Amino acid sequence: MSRYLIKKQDVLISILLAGALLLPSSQAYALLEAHVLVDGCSTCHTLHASPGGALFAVSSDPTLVCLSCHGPGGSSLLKADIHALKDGNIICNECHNSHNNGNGIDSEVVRENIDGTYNIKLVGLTEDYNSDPPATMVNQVREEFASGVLGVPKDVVYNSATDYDRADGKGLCNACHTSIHNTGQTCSDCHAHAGGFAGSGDCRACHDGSGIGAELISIHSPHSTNTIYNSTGVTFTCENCHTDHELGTVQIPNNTAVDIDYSTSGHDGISLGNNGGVYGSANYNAAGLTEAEICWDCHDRIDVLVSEWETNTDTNGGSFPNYDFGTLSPSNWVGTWNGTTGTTAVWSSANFSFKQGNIQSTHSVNDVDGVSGKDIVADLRCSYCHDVHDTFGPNTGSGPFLRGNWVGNPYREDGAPRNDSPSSLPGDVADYSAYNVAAKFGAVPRGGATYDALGGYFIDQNSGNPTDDVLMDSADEFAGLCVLCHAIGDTDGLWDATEIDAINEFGTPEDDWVGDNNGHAVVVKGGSGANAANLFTMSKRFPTTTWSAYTGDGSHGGNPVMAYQNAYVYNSKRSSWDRVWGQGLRGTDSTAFQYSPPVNTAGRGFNFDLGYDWGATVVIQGSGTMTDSGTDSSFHQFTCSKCHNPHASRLPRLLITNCLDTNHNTWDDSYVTPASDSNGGGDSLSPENQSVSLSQVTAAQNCHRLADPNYSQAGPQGTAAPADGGENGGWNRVSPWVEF
Amino acid sequence: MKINCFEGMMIKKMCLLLVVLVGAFSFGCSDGGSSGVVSTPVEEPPQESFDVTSPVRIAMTPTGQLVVTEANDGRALFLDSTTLDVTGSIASSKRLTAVGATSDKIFLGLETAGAVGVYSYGGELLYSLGSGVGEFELPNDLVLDEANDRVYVVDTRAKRVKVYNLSDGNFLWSFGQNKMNFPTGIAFDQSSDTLLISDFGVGTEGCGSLCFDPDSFYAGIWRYGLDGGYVETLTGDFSRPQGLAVDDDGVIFLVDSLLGQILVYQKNPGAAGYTEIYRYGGSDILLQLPLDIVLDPANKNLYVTNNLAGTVEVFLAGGTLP
Repeated sequence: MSRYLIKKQDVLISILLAGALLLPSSQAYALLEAHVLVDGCSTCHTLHASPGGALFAVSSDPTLVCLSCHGPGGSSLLKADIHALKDGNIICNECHNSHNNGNGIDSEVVRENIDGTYNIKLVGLTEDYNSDPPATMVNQVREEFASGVLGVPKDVVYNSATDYDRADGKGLCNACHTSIHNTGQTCSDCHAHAGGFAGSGDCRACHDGSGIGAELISIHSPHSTNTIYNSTGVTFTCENCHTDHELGTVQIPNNTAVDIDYSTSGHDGISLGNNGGVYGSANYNAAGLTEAEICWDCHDRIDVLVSEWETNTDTNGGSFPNYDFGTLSPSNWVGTWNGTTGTTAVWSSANFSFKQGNIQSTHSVNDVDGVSGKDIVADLRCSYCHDVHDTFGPNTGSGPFLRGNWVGNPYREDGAPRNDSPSSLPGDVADYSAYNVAAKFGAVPRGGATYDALGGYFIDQNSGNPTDDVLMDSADEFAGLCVLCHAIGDTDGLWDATEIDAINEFGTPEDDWVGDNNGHAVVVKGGSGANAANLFTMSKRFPTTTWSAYTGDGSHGGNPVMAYQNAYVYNSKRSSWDRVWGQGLRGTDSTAFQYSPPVNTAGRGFNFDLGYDWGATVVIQGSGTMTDSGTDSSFHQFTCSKCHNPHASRLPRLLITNCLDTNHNTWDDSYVTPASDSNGGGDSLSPENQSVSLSQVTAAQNCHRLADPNYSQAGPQGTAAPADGGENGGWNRVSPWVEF
Repeated sequence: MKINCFEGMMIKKMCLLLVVLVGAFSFGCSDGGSSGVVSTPVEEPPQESFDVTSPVRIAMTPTGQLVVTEANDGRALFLDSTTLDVTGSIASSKRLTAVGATSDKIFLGLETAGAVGVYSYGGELLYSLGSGVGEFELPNDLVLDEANDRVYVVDTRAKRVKVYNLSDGNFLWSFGQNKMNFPTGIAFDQSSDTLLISDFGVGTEGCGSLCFDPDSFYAGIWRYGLDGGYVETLTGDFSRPQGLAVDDDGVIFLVDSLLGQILVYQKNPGAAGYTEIYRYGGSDILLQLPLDIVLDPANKNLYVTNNLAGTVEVFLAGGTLP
């Protein structure tokens, strides 16, 4: 340092003399202090064996002078590399003045920027040698284009490391780059000058979870290399779905509910889409015009088992049957599309041919869509449920990579008992032969809790009570994902009874539920059970005939309620209810009506006593009186997946079942009672049991069946008959299973 | 591969030099391991390949493989010395500098961690020199003395050479402080059992023919004994000396990153000092910021890291004197 001061005047004179040879002006350049401390002017000039001698010649590459110290292996800790363009490079002297910051501190030169402050790090030029003769600049940087065409000089304000990208557009990078992300942050945190601002060329160099606003995308994340496609030899890169720096064609908007929030980094969401991609090509290069189409570019392919359709084997713990969600043709929900809407895909059940039809509802997971039904493709937000990069949890490293818990349907598929011939699917022909005449209620679809053949309903009682399993015995376990959007008023990310009771996305309980109350409370495990209704009241089950307890020993008097629970007679002497013979509608005894399919009641005194094992209470036996029962609160303990498909469904509201819709039954088409009849015991059929198929009789175990309109005289179980201002039964008003 | 013939050089009368360009400008994929920390290398993603893009230092393994450190990719690449194809790599932190190789270990200078890590050929970190992270201000180059179980590391910003046990990384001593200015490269001279250390500024006297300011620092080469004792200073017409290689006769091959040349110095027979006898590179500008050089003793090939060009250059039989 002292050596420099002694010789300062000599050095300056030398520079001035030499400067006249090269510089159009006679401006004297002092030095940035950091360079002074190295070797003064000789740091760059008067180099031993310098190509130009005292000062490096015009033909010398000044970039090499800079990089010889600031490049790899150099003596400076401030590392830099040239900024590569597609054609050519931006060299040091296009952004940096070689000598000083012009702040009047380390030189006499005062060079304010457009804001009246001083740039640091030698940023900003006063002479632009891209022009001939050199143009005067005022702490500016000329815009550069990859084509080599020079742009206009841009004002640059560089007061600190966060001034690469400024909101006012005066940042150093803003000379060429429109501000697109992380404005006001230090660009070189990700785009190191040492690497030529290239950002290491790999998304994961920044997306390493190091706290600079880029989420961690590890190599073990799904949709990187650890995908099912990897086993087929296909390896994905980030560019298969993304284009860098929000230059993609699609954006997934921020949604704090599902922890997609990049607003602090200046992002409005996640950028997707690849402008150069071709949809449907074998390259899987994200050419879709919408998020869903980008996903379907791969997940539309059932052949490699990444589609959501067919059997889902991933999500119900393995102890219960894996639900088969059927097939969709084409499998991308909407068929041929144009980026917004498309033709409707046809869904086919894996078990029941009669169900085939167009889908009626899709899950957009998007508040933009305010109505139920099918959503436009552009609104579908796969990423709001699927945590494709494992950044949210609770992923365990295997599919389907969700943002919360979800248990796939642990029940088998509900379906109307059919007798179609020829049959093609397992449920097309109801086969109850295992339930022979000696079995409690014989060969009918649901004579008891052990009846679990395809064709009929599957509830907890004949499915092994899935939600007693520790893996799904709470709503947080089987539907923790759903709480993110469907738990109204939630603050803790956990389901409570109040939130389950109130689940409702569209419509109102009064409009949508039979009984006018939100049925989630009594159906979903964890609901409060509030507003449970008695399905078996006299007024609902026998609108035209009064039922009563049976009379007389051996008599068939008393119209049978569900499962003959009124087949008792009161013994006033013992003050107790005695079972009666009650041979029933299908008994083989001569005193029975003897309809098919038969139940062998010969020699059996108490035919239906102890036979009913579903657990629902139909009658209450009082002291000599038999009355309607109370409610069986929380009789169902279902998962969300019991009734809903999370993607697209044949029914409205993503429903996958319209349980007990008897109007699609065909198994009982040949089992129709006569218009009038009496049995060997002298009893006559009640009006409700005349000219009806067996699924419609009063004794049928069809709790809240949706009545067959072909048998309007049958009192619909569950609600009052239409003639009395009621409905045809069922349990909801949005999903009658009619042909669409 | 593109092969060009070198023209206009004296050496061409003796033998034909072929320059083989290797590498490409495409970036390899970094797996983004932990930044700036000497740690267990991040598992390599499958199906990724790497190219030479920003080579810094180069060394030769006992089996004749080349090992090149990459500044930007944070990888050390193994190259076949015949084809210069990349045959493997070791991933580490973001910027690598120094490199050395024994039969079972690879020594890597981790610039951003200020450390030198010792790895297995499989990429497992075995130990670090000294205290690990922060042991060095800028570990720029190193040389291994297996016979004496020593590693000599040039710490540019600390202005000295630090010496460690090769086998366990324990610090032994340092030398050059208060004398060295900006030491960069280091090489072992077997002919004299000494070390040569290049320096951007070796002193203020005795500058070469093109020195303008006799009071400014000028570049040079230090010679020290293996015990750290100063021997002599060599100067010449170079500006930014970087890596060196020395043959069995003590001929020095010096890379100057600014000149873009390899300067060849031979000791004056029977007299003091060295004479520059040849230069590679120069007006052809084939070398753009060359940083390091290694001599293959078997065939006298010279391998040079051509950093700004993103290549490793080979001068076939370049180590054979005219």
